[in-house]
Amino acid sequence: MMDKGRRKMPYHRRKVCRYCADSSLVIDYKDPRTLRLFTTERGKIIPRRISGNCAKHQRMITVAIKRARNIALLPYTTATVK
Amino acid sequence: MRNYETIFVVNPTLGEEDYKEVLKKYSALVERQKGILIRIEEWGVQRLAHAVKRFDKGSFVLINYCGPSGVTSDLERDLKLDDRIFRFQTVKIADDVDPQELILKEKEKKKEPVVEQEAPSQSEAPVQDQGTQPEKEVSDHDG
Repeated sequence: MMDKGRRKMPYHRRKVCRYCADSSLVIDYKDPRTLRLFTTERGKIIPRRISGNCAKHQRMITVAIKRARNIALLPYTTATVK
Repeated sequence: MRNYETIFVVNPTLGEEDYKEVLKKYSALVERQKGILIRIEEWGVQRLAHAVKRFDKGSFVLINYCGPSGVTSDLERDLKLDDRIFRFQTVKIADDVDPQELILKEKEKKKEPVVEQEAPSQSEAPVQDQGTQPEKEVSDHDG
């Protein structure tokens, strides 16, 4: 059980924060298209460990998404069925 | 002077005149509060990502203005009481700005991006650079 060989190291590539890589990108709550890249189909915010953003930019994105939700540019969830 | 940006969603069923009146009312209100209007953007009627007051469409208006710290309070109070407004949100963009500079910048922008604006579709919100200062939320209310 304690075999070293058994323990599989999951392969993962360290993603680079795209906002750090390209400083010309701006995080804007008025731009739902870009923000949609950081939400799931259900409208949840994708965590940093998956999106690969750095802490600073993830924070900015979170705020932007929440603002966009407030003025109905982004959904809180897609479960709202009329 | 501070630079603020207020975005509000107007009832899409309003007639042309009523809609114009809403715009006029709030731009006048900013100026009455010793604010300086910098830009008004009308995005037109857009689909809402979630229903607001049982409407699934809304007409978005964005106003960018400068003013002393008290400008937003009157504007927000009126927006809150207005039945024609579904939602509004004010964001502070910068703390110490010179409004004249911003107006000049705005004029320059208008001249330049004529070519660029053709590419993105109408539904896309225009992106503008907002300087280096981070945005700070002033307040956001349900309409």
